[in-house]
Amino acid sequence: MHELSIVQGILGIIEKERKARGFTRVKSVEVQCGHYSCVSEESLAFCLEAVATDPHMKGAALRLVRMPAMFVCRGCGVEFPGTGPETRVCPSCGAADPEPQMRSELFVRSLEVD
Amino acid sequence: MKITLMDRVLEANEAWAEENRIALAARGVVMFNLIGSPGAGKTTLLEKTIRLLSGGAGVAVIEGDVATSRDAERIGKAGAPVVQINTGDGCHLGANAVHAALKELCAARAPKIVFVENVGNLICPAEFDLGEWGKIAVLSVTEGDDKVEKYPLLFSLARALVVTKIGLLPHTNFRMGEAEKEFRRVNRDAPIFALDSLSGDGFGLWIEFVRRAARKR
Repeated sequence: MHELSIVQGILGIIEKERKARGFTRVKSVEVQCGHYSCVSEESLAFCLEAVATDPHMKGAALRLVRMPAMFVCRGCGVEFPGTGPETRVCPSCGAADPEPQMRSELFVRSLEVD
Repeated sequence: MKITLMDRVLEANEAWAEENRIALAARGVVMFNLIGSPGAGKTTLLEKTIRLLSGGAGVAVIEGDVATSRDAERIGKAGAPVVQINTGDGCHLGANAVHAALKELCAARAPKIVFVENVGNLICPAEFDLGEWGKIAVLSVTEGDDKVEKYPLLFSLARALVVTKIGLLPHTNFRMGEAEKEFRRVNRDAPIFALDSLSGDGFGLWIEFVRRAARKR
């Protein structure tokens, strides 16, 4: 249930923005995660609905944008997106076994508010 | 109205992790974050490691479990000061809980080596930085040699891989070469230690690795 920690982080960011900007309703939250982040949109949305009981969060939707997996070629050093661990060849020089760049970073990308 | 942000969600945890990193560096302490499945042999690995590191002198342990203090009792018997954190319904340790435990340990003793035994789980603990020097992935041969690519985040971030229970190898279909090959696809540099915590086989290189990391601080 690390979704709970993540949702608490998201709500902290929303609260900070609400205090600074004074909006009264959050319509949607866009969250970005790395390809290998262990989160799913369904469980995050479920958890957000359960935890966010303040009136300004009522009906707020959550969208998760997963970034593509990135690889760095061990031969020529070029960085390129791939489909996952099955990516095995550099598109630039053809060297095998590129190094996956594990990015688990989670960001609140944007808010849609009234 | 749309507000564009790009704010880090786990910023609070990362701030605590950074505080831990600074506090550990100031005291010259090396902290390892042990992550593996329930039953991978993390506690048994620690018991043996504590005994081999000069009977536990200068070693302290932070135990993370959902419930009970069973692991802490075992570690205490092995000869190291220990703080148990019960996470309740939490699936991982957070950097703030570790910060409080570190404070307690460092006030009572002056450890040079701290092992954090994270909650048994290959997924969530990998996402939460504790301010450690390195994550140690613990994988037992009974779990199978296909786990590395199934949980790539942990294995890619690991500073070392410890393969445990190698005494059971003849009774499993675990192929060490296959596990190593998968590990190298996601992690080029981290050393691999294959050992058995009951017999003590393979501990020499692992203990040397721990000592070397501690000396560098």
